[in-house]
Amino acid sequence: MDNGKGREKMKKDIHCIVNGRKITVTADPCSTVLDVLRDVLHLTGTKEGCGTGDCGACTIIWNGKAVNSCLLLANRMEGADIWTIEGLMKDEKLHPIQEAFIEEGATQCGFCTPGFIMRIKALLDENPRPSDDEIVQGLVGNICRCTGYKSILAAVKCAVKKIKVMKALS
Amino acid sequence: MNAPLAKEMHEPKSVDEAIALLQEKGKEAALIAGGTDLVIKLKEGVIEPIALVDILKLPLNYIKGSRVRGFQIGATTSAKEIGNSSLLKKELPLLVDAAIHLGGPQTQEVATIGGNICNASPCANFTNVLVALEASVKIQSPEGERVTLLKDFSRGPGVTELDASEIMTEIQIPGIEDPYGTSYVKHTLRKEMDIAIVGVAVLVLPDGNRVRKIRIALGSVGATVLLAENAQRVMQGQVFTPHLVETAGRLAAEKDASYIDDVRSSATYRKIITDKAVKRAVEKAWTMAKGGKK
Repeated sequence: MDNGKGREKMKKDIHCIVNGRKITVTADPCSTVLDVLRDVLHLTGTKEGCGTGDCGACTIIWNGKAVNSCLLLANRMEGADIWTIEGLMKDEKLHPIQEAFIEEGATQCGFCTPGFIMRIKALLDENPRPSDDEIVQGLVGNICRCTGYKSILAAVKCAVKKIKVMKALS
Repeated sequence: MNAPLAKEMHEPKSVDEAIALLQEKGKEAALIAGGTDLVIKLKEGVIEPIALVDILKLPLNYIKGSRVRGFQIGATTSAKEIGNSSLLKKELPLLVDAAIHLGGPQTQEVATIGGNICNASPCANFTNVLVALEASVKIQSPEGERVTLLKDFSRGPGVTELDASEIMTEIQIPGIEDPYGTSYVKHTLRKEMDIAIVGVAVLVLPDGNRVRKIRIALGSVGATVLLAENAQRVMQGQVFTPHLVETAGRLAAEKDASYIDDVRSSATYRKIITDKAVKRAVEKAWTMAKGGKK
């Protein structure tokens, strides 16, 4: 591998929406989306765990789908609608899933948390009333080494209620 | 920042354009669709192509047909699209079963059926069930199109009959008449996200209480997904009995499969599980064929 010199010409302007904002990012289309988010856009909430699509720490929402950004190449950012953990807070208020994580103590070291929250966001967008089994099945692609998962599952159920209330009020 | 994983990215607008690119670049190019296997290989340096040819935007994303007439599935159709397909849930749940057990949800969103097959792992879920269904694959080459049986397409781990300038574009599943039964038994140590230690997929067509036709595809117990020919032969035309199932399981484990020790399992354990998994899969498919649970 070269040391990066002479690669400037490989970079391209990529037009996309990140966390609701239209942006143009200059990046190499053969880099991973994870690297572009963290190192170019400085959105370091998205974490690199395994780097091989097993742990889910790098989960983002790409065109409505929860995907591992460590395995997605940056050319797929062109025209895409991308959401990361940084985009969930609205009007200085945490997203109900974030609130639920705090209330249920679903975070310990916190490294897996952004990935879990983005995966749960996609899961609840698709299925707002998941059964216990659907929650467990929906989270098999995310690994947590601290919590033992119980508090995370409780947080999902808590988030379901919070979102329901939020929707009823709006 | 990590170095980019290749020097060039190409996004052809048609299959012909993709093939022209592959011809021009030769062995310096690699095709990418979902990327869930390929990107790992790029990161680990298993392959070091100069150019990536991204085919995800090509119109190869479709599910057409019916069980009786047969199905055509585009090569870049994702595991999620197959797992969520109401048509397949109703008509060919076996394929849905393979899709929903392929990695985790994040992988299923982007991983494609064609990629799963072309990655040519002997453990591949889709290949496992599709070999039992006697599926074929359509291959587009600079010379034109050809169709080849999936069971012959894989040549060994990571190796297929595809040339550097060819693209697999479609999976074709022949029609299946009533009554029929199918099953997929995937043995893993964890329930989810795990690669099969042994995978067994079965298609059975009964004639009263006799086995008119049976296909038993074994995954993870050979260099490619293979058909348990000895087990199939012993069941062919016979009255379905527990003793026959016992014999088929034993034959598959002893004569049809071959075993290696690896990180997932010892060869000895694989052999014991193959015997049991074949019996379970055959019984399950037969129960479905006789009007039991689908």
